[in-house]
Amino acid sequence: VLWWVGLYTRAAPADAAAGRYAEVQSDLHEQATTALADGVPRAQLNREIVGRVVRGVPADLAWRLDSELAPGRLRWHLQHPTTVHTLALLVLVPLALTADRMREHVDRWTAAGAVGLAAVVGCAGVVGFSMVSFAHLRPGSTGWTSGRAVRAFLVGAMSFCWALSGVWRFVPTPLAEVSTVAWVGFGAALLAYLVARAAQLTCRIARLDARKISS
Amino acid sequence: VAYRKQGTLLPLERQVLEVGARRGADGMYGFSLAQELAGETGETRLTAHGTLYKALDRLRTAGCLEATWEDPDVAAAAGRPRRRMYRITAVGRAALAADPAGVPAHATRKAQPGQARA
Repeated sequence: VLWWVGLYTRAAPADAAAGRYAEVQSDLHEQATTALADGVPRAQLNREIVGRVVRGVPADLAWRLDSELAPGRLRWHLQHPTTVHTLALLVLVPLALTADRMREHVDRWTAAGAVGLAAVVGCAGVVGFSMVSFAHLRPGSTGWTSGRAVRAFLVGAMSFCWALSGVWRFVPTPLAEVSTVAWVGFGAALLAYLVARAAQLTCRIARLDARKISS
Repeated sequence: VAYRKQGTLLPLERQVLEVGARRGADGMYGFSLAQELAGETGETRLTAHGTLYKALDRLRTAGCLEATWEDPDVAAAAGRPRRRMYRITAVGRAALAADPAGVPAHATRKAQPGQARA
């Protein structure tokens, strides 16, 4: 449950996120204590808690959307590379998958069409690089941390692999195999990125727990 | 997302304010409120976390409720996390009094025009 709360409050305004997390944590404790004292079986308690979470998901998401409409949030997002990294992933992954599907039919394409697609895919790689660069180099950026540097490197690697794949997939074998290797690199970078994200989220939840205990 | 006529309360908001008015200075906290709402309406399920805390947040932002965190020492002595206590304000009482549905919300929950939840 707290994993979900940590997820939908992620990068939300700090006070609101910490408040919501602590409030749900308290609620869960109260519900568990009361139910167990009343002799409610633990399995039933777990079902009830999960049910409360699932039924509240639309409201959770609406709450998060509302919080993003508050003044100053756009500025905050522009100053934090996290948002740009996420956007880069959201743009790159579906486009990469689409391009891969198109690749199966590339034999039927004209040379001009193939070059056009290669240009589009290559440009997408440049867009990926540009987004990451913009996030970190623009005036007012919050700067680098080790976590951000790792994530920026991984997004950059994904962009590079994708661009490489786009360029090399249209040349004759055996050089076309470079494209396959590039896709493996893209997948590996994506996996590493998701692992880094999960680790960061876990650390954040642990920090919130520690703050809660200390307070 | 909640839709409503201007100056009206959603059924859940009205119920929350009614509980708040009954509790007065003692206040209420999330889980106690969920229990009371379930008892009032005869529901076997407690209000979902998201629905409940979003409504509380909305009422607090509108000035109908004031929220304070419980003293950490009190919570530590009781061996539980701190509770966030909500108390109804004068604005909340006025909103409750001015709400067109001047009968207990649970009695009219299914038939209040213009107060549907999406």
